[in-house]
Amino acid sequence: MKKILVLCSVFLAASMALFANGTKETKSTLSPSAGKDISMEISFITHKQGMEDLFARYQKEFNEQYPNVKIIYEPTPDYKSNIVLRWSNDNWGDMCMIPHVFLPQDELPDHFASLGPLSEYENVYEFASAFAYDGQVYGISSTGTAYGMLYNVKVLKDAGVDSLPENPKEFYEAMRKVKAKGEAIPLYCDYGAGSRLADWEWNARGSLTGDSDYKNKLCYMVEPFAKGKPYYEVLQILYNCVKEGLCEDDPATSKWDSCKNLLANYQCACTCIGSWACVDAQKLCKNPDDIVFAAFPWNTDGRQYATIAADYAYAINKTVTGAKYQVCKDYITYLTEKSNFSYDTGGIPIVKGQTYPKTLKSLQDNNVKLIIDNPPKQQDIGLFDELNSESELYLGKYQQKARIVEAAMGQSKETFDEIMDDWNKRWTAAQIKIIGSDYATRNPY
Amino acid sequence: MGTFLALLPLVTVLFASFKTAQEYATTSPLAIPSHLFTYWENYIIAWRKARMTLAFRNSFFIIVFTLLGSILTGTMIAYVIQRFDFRGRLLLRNVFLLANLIPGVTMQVGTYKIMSNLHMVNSIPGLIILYTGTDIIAIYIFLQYFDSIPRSLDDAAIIDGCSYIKIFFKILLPLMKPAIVTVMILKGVSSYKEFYMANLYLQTRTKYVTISTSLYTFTGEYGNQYNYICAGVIITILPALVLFLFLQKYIYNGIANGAVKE
Amino acid sequence: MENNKESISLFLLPPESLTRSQKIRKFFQEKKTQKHVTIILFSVVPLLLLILFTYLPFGEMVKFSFYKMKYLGKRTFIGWQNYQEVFHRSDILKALFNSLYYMGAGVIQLSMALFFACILSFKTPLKNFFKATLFFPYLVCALAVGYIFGFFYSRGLVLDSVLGLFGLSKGTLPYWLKDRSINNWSIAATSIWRYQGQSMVLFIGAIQAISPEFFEASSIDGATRWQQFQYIILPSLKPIVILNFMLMVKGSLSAFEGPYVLTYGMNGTATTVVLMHQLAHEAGKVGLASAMAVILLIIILAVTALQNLIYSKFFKGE
Repeated sequence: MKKILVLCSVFLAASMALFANGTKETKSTLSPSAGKDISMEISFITHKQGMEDLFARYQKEFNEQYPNVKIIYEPTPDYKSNIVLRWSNDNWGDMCMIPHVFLPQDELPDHFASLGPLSEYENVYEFASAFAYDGQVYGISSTGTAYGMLYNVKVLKDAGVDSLPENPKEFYEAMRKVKAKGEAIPLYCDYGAGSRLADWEWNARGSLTGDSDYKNKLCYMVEPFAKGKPYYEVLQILYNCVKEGLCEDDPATSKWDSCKNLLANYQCACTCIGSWACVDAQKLCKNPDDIVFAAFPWNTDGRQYATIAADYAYAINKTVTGAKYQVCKDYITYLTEKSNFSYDTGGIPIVKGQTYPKTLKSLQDNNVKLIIDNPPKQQDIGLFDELNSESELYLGKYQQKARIVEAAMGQSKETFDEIMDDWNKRWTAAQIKIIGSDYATRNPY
Repeated sequence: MGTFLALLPLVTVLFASFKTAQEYATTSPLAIPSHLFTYWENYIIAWRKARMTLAFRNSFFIIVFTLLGSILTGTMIAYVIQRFDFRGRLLLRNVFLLANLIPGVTMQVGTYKIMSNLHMVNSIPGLIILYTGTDIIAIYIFLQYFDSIPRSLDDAAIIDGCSYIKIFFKILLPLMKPAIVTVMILKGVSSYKEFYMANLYLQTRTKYVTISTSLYTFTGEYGNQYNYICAGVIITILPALVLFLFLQKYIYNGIANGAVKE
Repeated sequence: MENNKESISLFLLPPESLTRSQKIRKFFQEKKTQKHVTIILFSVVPLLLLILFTYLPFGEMVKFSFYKMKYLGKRTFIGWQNYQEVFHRSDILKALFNSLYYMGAGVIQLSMALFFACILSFKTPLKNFFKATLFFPYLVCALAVGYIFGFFYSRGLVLDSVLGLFGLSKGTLPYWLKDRSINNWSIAATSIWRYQGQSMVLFIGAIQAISPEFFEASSIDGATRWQQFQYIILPSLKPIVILNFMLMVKGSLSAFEGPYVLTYGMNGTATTVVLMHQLAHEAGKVGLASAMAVILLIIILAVTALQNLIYSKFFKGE
């Protein structure tokens, strides 16, 4: 009991000291800019939990510009289902994060203030068009994520694999060698975590095709999930690995937290995931260099590609105007250009031309070309979402990929080809219902 | 045996709450922590980072007033339904009973709209009113219990010239004690644990964190800090358990005093 | 008492002879008026809350069921199409079937709760300790339940180790969440674990309401514990047991949290509400999910009515 008290008081003292420091410094760094006349509070709903320390640092740094502005972060678990309800009403707060591939572009002006014309951002920021509509930008991505594989190279090496696999054949071989060695799980499929299965799909677009319009073309393609097509090829790797026992023994109870620990402790060779995961796993690993993020094992004419996508974007409520709007906008500029957020989280920096963080170095070293999905043409805005909803293929989500893993685990009687056939059927039906039976001839891309 | 089964699943929580992040990452969930009951760091961090002091204060406030509201409205409506004959009595009863049977998945949209029109979003009183108005299972229990209190008591009081309101507050309510305690336990626990609405309607965590939302401080889209969460779970369970035992005893005393006996 | 006399005397006087204030007093003392005032006074707040937070949102949901819509964005009226679709989907039938697991678990849960409630109502050593431990899972929040049972059912972890102590080797045991032959049972079992304590408290509360004199008298007559249970406890618990059964059936038809936190409803474990949640939040078919909710309500009402019928037939003689 005494020990707790002592520890408690130590913490109390420490936090008080911190607090005192903070106030002192903000006083001493009062800048002479006009910002000091502005005094207000800004509420900011975010999906990031438990990052109080980081937010406190941002507050301190932003106060150099606006000493009397207080940003109140409102971290919200279960963010996506929460925020849709909040957006149904205008008074949800001043700033928030827009999840990626969540709202069709034409709905952006319903909720958010324009941050300026697209032409102003296009050449300076990455992903500028991801949250833009009709030439106006409504959201600035906080960072970018590349999709591919996260490897523990030491585990591979111990099993006799010296270079990272660059095509499916090498990949299967590597996984089989790891399995034969018997000391580590070859591929952690992370089925139990649900949403992680969705990461496979990102590779089916850019990483296989190198085509930025692939997602747009998908709306008009005839049977895009047939054998030999990118989706089929990528998901078949998942299916085969599970079927061959190259994955964790009990995928139903797997989760990213376990995967992270296994990777870092040399008990797992790889997993399919976004680049953000690299930093997390490295932090736990005694030799962080063993954890390497690399492109999906595929190459087209000797060149590898990796899909990159915008992460959650900063946005301002459309009801915010005047001085407050300016402060919010300046805060977004600060977060994007000065806060170092991308480096802290190991993501792709938003300001064009900035060097990539260490975790993405291997992509640069191997000359992997990064592919961003192009926004759809004006008349196609929302079309992909509509097809996706109508067909219930849950593209970008995990439900239908889980079905593939379940079949591979022998829990359902479907074969992989049957599932893909069903996908094609559903997609075609949706295409006919929404675009019309001449959908294939209408492809504008 | 039952006790064993009830406690067994919690072993992993207890163990994880005494492990360092490093130890948690490298050992099996069933490995006994090297500092069982001596490493309290997780508890301290859970308490501090999840703002447990504030969370307990808010939750306490919410529960007390929710219980007050639920018990008052619940007993009142049960009294009306159970003791008066009037046109529409059955309708009234069924309308309340039906409410508990509605599966509401897409109802939150409507509720949110109403809450925000009434300016009850991001306010603790707002959440209290919402809690009082939903999960009205208490009415069943009160209806049942009123049934067991003989009507002759009311009749005698009426002859004595008591008003209905007086009968309700002075005679019936004290007799309802065991039912009230049961409702307190059940509704108290459910509002203590309730996460969805607390998360949706209490936006500003720095001010309005509750016990159920505080634990989520350590969760994230990209992974959870389970050693802190587990410590938090233990912290939140213990006071509730103590309170439960206390209330249980209270039921006994209530009975022993012969409150219900005629 | 004096006051009372006066009020009676007021009634005896002919109405014309009363003053205005006396008239008002008489008006209020008339039980009929008082009755109406009490009814209105006592009903207005609960009814208002009920309408605000249950029936208005419910009305909204019924409205949604006739639209093709997401939570945000444009809505198109499509008449009964959503309802038609509900009847053409096979996954809904499977989800409804899954409710049976939860009903099975519910029966076990209520029997266990009744058993423990009886035992713990008698003088048992360490009574409070047992009561607390049995109640304690009810206090665990959903976040922790997902965590706890993730490990509990993991291959080779908690459950497997314990069964290992009894000599069952890993090879003979199933994968608790992976194998479709067992996973619904595994998840339903967690709901027994979680809610057994809740039912127990309800039952203990009801047993406490039985006059102890009955027990004393029956003990003197030499009744066994079983006879006491059969002739004293069970009859007086009947209403609360029936009530619990009804709520259990409703609860199993709309089970959500268990499958959602453990498997997200994957691998054949989706219940109706998990499916609705998925359709509304992930597939963007809020209208369809609303139509499902309305139909589910009708099913629940039908089952409840059926139960009522059975009970009233069954217990008619008593």
